[in-house]
Amino acid sequence: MATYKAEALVLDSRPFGEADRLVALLAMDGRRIRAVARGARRPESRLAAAVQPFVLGRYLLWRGRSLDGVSQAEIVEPFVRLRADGPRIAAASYVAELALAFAGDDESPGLGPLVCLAFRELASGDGELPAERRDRVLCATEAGLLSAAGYRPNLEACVVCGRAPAGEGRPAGGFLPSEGGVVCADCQARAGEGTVLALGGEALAVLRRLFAGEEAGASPFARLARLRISPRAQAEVEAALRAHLGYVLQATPKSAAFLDILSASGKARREGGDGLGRAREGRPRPPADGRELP
Amino acid sequence: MAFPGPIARLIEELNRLPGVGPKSAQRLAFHLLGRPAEEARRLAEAILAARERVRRCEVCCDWTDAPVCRVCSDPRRDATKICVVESPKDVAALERTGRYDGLYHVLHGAISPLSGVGPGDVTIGRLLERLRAGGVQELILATDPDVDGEATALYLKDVVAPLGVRVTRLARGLPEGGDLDFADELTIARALEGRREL
Repeated sequence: MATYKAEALVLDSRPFGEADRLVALLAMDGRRIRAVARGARRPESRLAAAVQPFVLGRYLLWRGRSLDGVSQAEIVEPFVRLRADGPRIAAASYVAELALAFAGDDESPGLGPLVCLAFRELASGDGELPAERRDRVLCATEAGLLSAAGYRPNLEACVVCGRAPAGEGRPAGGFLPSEGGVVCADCQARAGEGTVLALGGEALAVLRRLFAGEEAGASPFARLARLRISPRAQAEVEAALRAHLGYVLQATPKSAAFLDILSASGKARREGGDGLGRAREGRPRPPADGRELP
Repeated sequence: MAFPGPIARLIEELNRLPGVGPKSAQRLAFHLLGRPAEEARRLAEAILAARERVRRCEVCCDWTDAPVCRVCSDPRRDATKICVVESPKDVAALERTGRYDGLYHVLHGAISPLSGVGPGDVTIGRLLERLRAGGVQELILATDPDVDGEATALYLKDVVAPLGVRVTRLARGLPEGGDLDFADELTIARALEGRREL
C-alpha cells in the first residue's frame, strides 16, 4: 500500500464508524488531507491524541481509494493551551474552519504557517484569553487567509466611482461587501440603506495596515498588535472582514455561533451580570444567505 | 441488480443505520429473510416497543421506560452529586465500575463549535434548572476527553460558577496497564497535571 508523510495541523476530527475518527489535516504546504484514523477513539489507541483538533504533528498516511488513512503519528506541538478555556477553543475552531474552507487539494504556500502562527498567538499568555486579543488575532487571521487566497479587498479607491474613499476634507464612506471594497460617502448615499457597512477613517487605516502585505514586514499579527485601535474602529474592521469573508465563501462558519455566545456571555460577566442570560448575538455575521460551511 | 420491492425497501431502511453501508445492508436483509418469520417479528416488535416506550427521564434525560429512570428514583443514590455525561452509553460505562453512587445528567451530545452544535442543542438548560432547584453540592463533568468534551466542560464550569456548586472533572492520564514510553506527549502532560499525593 502506497504511503506518504506530511507535517500537518489537525483542523477537524469527528467520530467515524465504531471507534474511528475522520480527520481533516492541513499540511504545511497548504494541501487539505482527509483521512481516517482507525481505532482512534479507543483510550489505548496510539493515534488518539495525535488526531485531536489543533495538534501539529508528523503523519504517515496510506493512500486509499476514497479516503486516505493515518498509519502512524507523532505530535510536534500539541497546542495544549488552545483547550484551556472556552474562548480559546471557540477562536481556534473558527480559525480551523476558515482554513479548511480556503484549503484545497493543491498546494497553497503560506496557509499552513499562517494557521500555525494563529494557533501560537491564541495559545500564548496565561489566564483566560482576553476578548480584545482574541478579536485582533482573528482579524489578522481572516486578513491573512483572504490575502493568501487572492481575495484582498479594494481599500484604495471607491469601488463604484474610483475616487479616493476618504481624506482631503471628504468624510469616510463605508464598505460594500458585494463589490469587495470601500465606497466613498457620495456613493454610499446612493447605494441605499443596509448594503454598505460603516467604515470610518481609523478602521480604513487599520484594514490597509492588515492587508499591507510582505513589504510591511512582520506578520499580520505583529502589525496589528502594535496598533492602538478604538473599540468602534475594531468593531467596524471586524464587520467589514466578516462581511467580505461571507461573500467570498458564500457561507457562514458554523463555529462563529459559539464564538458569538461566548462573546455575549463574557461581555455580560464583565458588565456585572452572571453571563447566563446569553443571546445569539455579538459580532456581525457575514450576509451569506444563511448557508453554513460544509 | 434491482431487488423485489419489499427486499429493496428493507435494504434501504437498514442502509440508513449508522455504520451500515449498502453491502452490509444487503447482507443483513438476506440474513433476516433466511431466518424463521417469528425471529423477524420479534426483532420488529423490539424496535417498535423501544421506540414507543422509551423516552427521556424527566429528571436526568437518560433513556427510560418510566417517567423517571431507576437511578433518579433510587432513594439510596446520593442526590448531592450529579455526574454530567454526553450519552446514555456513558452512564452504563460509569455504572459498570460500581464506584459511583450519585445521580447523572445526560446531555445527549456535546458542544461542538466545528459542527455547529451549541449549548442550546444539548440538555444544558435542563441541567441548570436542576442545579437552581438546590441540593446539589458537586457537579462531576465526565464529558469525553476531546476538544468537544472540553468545550462543553469549560462552558458548563462558567455557567455553573454563579450557582456556587463545586465543579470537578474526571481525571485524565495514563491508561491502566500501558507503558509510559508508548504514551504521547499530550497524555503524559495531562497525567503530570493531574498527579496526586500517594
